[in-house]
Amino acid sequence: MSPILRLLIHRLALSLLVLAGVSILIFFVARVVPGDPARIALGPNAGAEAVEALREERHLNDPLIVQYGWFLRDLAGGDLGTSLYTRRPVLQDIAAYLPATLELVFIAGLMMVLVGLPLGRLAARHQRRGPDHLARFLSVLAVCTPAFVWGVILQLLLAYVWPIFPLEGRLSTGVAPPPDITGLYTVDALLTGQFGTMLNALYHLILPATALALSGIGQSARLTRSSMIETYRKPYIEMARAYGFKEGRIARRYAFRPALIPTLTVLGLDFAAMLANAFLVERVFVWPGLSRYGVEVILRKDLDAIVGVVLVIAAMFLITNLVVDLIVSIINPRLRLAEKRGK
Amino acid sequence: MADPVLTVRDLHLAFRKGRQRTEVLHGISLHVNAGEKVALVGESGSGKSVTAQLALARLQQEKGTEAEGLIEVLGHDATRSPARIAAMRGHRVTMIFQDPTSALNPVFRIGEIFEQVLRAGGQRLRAQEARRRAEAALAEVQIPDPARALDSYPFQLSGGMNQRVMIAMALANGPELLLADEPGTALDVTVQAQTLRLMDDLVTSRGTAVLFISHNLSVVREFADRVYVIYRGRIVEHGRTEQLFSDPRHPYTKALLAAAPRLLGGGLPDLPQGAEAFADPLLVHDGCAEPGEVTA
Repeated sequence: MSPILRLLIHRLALSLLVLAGVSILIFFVARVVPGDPARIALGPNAGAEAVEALREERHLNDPLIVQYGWFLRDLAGGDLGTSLYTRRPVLQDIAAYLPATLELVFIAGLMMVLVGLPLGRLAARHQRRGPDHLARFLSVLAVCTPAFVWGVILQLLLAYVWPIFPLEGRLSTGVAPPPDITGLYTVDALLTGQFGTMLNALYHLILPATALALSGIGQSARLTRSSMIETYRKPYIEMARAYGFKEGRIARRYAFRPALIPTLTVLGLDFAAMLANAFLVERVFVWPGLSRYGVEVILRKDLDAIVGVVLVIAAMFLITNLVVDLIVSIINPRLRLAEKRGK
Repeated sequence: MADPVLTVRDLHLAFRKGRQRTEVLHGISLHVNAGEKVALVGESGSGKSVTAQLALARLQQEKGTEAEGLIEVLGHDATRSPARIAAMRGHRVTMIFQDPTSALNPVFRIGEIFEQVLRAGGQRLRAQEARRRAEAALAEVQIPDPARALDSYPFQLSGGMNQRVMIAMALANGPELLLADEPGTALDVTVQAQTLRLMDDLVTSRGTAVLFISHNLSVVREFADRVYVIYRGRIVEHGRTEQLFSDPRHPYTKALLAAAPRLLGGGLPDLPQGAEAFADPLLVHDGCAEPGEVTA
């Protein structure tokens, strides 16, 4: 078995265990928090019998352990329960809200990698000179300003004062959403050949994705810079220079690839964290995403929905980690070949 | 006499950091003629390695570096036209390092690094041709399975193998001058001796000039035609190898030789720190004047 496949299987098994642990934790924590979900769902005017009936229907009067049994039984049948807030199956809600968030986070992640890494590389190559000072100033600014503040600033400047970009939403009014295939508007529009809709969706993505990505861009630039500077001190870079390798090639490949290894791991976590942090940005840009949904259901103590959302976010973290580990093991031959060498 | 491939005359070097100025070289002069093997011997911190860095024009542009005096490599002034020297790196002037394994990038295959080395100085080369030449070069340093070595990562090869790879890279483009900065000091003594002998055979048969930087007298004795002894940024003695070892004249050289460990000659022995006599002026053996000087 190839070492990469082995790594994959190992990590998948581990991920399932983590998911099980998270589900148990969030299941009990959500239920221990004070407040009656049935009462919140029905409102202050509902009668005591109605509340009691709902509690009975949702097994809320059973001991916690028994409730967990019901949860597991539903889960085995692929059912995450029903939201008390939207009154729809939680899975259906997630399917409706997750793609909007994913689309946002993907674009933001892309910006993080495509802008942050080259910026850090540029700074490292011109250490303590003009480009470095500028890049460091920009990245500190980006890191220490919260995403929702960026959201408001971007809206104000680029959607209001200079109305270049749309203020909010996923599509302009009058533009019909593309047929639902993946739920990602850009992808669906592309798949069905509606290029106008795709551009419109992309156009709407730019501001919220930028707001969400800025701190990640700053973070990745800073990480790349420090990792590159450390790599530049390595003997193999001295060797490369002594052998006349082009400075640009060293920056782009020879020093960049080893420097990427520690950077990527942290970037993966940053990327996954954006899923959870997207809430305020979604709020500012009226973006119908999962983070917003998650906050709503927590405030309403919507038990099934809380568990569902947390599980999805945890799964995203795990998947991201897995992907990052795979990329790192491809870049780092020591990991990939460790197995062979041991034998 | 053959033309010198490396000439250093009255070279001063200081590093400035803030208000502190540390003088590292106090006017050293040395030369290496074409095809000649010259050793520069001294303890760590004596200024050996910076001399090699200066010869590659790698230090001059760094902030806080103040270099004065002449360094001429293959007819080009390393201080005034560092770009000319930079263009010669990797093919006309090459280098071998202390620890071969850390001098090879861990995330690239040997073959990928070798290909870059063969393209040093902007030489155009197709991948197949590079591969063929790299295999031939590895065969020449007695690597048993060159194709496999090229497909390996440095961490998959032993230190000795990596040193052979490094020697092959250093000689692949037929350089006129090889700077060997404590080559293989990080390896164990027998492997170091083996690879040095290999390097010696190859440079001798090709007539490559070598500036051999070392603290190890016994290695120097076996390898070099001529020796400069450097102490705290000053050359203190200069002579042909047999002259210097049979008739050491400078107190520092005497101390070095007297302190040399008898078995195989390992690391640098303890010396009485800063003995006054070590500051004695340069002693030059017969027939070893710098070019342009009158032999005494």
